[in-house]
Amino acid sequence: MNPYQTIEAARPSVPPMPPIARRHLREHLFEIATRSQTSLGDPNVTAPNTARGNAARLAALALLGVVGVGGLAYSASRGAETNVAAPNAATTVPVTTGPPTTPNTVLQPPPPTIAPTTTEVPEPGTEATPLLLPVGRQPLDELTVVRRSLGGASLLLRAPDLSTISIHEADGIQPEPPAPPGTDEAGITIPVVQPQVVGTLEVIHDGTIYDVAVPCGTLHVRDRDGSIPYRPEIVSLLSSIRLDRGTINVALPAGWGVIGAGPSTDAFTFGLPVDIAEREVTVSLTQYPDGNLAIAGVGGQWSPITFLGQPAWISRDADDATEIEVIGFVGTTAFRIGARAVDVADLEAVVTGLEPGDVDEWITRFGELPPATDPDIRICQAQPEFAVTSV
Amino acid sequence: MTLTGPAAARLYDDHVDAIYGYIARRIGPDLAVDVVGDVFEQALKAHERRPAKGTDRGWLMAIATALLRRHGTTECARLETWSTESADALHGATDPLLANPASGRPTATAMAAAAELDPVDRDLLFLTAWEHCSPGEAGEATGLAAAVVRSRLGNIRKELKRLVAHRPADPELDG
Repeated sequence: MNPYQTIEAARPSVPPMPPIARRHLREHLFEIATRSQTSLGDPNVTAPNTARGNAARLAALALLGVVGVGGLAYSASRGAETNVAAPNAATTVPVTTGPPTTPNTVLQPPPPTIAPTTTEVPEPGTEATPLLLPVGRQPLDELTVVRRSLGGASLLLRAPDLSTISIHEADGIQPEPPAPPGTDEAGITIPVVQPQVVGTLEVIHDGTIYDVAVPCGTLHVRDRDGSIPYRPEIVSLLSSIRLDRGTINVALPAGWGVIGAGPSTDAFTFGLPVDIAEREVTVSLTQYPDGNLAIAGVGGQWSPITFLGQPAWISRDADDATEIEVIGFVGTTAFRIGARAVDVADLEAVVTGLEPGDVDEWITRFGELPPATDPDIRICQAQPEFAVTSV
Repeated sequence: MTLTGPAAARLYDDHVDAIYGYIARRIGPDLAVDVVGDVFEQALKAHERRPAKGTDRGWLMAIATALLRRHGTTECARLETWSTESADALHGATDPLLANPASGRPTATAMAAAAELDPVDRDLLFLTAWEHCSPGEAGEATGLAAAVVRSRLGNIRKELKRLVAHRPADPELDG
């Protein structure tokens, strides 16, 4: 073996670039492109957590400081009743948004903060821009996309005792052979709940999740964590369900309410580190374009609140009262946002600080989405969604 | 005009792993991420000046190769490390790429010889031996014609043999 071949054989095997570095680089490059298009200049592209990167960040902070001081000076000057042009503003803001430079003794309203333009401002939660995205380059702690469940649908209910119970159905997946009636691992006798109209109750998990095999699919009923198995509310709910050629009819008894219902949709999640009261907190935001509160609210115990002026629901963690989650809508996009040691106003501030974007922009910034759906293994025609009525 | 949008995303997604691997193999993973960032920044900015002929990969390799010249000292130090550390020590090295099963005296000597090559010859060596570039691609990455690359590769083989033959024996590696 000659030296060339020896070197060839010693080719080091390089593990893939760490995903977080790969993603950060991608975001940096996206930011360069964005800045280039808006003529803001290109930032120095460096990887996070490197000596060079830190130096660049310090420089950027210094630049931001200069711009910030200029901006504050402009902001302070524009509201003043004066005929003197703001001294620093002219160098930091576009001419079209600057204060008048001709003598003017008439009290003027403050100029708009955005230059007058005919370009429409993207609205969040719309068909064109269904997602909210972090502004610019912000390292994310979490980034996942879960595609919709084929033929899946969810229903989120509020029981008379104000507990939240959710139901999920999946179409026509070949059910496991039903287990013979008997006892579960805990020795609790498993009753068969009206098998002729609902299906066979196969198993329960921790007393809170009931799996029901229906003729052309599966049905999962999820009760409040820690509930007693077969508590009256569950029995009442199961007894209210009827199947009619695939439709899952739920005739809600008196005192029950619907929080949300609808088909499964794609879920876009990111964890955004933010500074709240001088602490770094990671806020997790999941968005469901054209989604519903039933899919957003899985596993929570929800109470009504107002979030950004809109009706929403809040859930507090049973083990950690400082951890809260909120579900609601921004336009037609359902969302679930949560964090530990925050209050609702903090979460509202985070949402307000995001910018509208579409799925293409998500892909450009964060990478391709996973495959659209699992292989279609349904064994019979698509099952209609829930049909809910109140008694 | 900077390349933007899906085209930029596709360029990055399609080639980042290959470019990262090339750079990490030559100067180590610690520096590689920064250099990869520089490669793609320049690629996006200069896409309009990209030669009409050639591939995206070859063009990115050209930018990477040019940027790697700034790290020649680091690269040579790594290659020398290959030669001065025993195989056992290499397996415990901080740089995981140096903990190579192929480490040992013949490899160490060959690596040290590579460190003594002319920088362009070293580029050609690693582009062809490690990145499996064709003479055309290696030429694209170094600004040489394919025929010139073939000729230089022949000379590189001879030069490596000569350098290896003239290297003093390492008593530690020879046991």
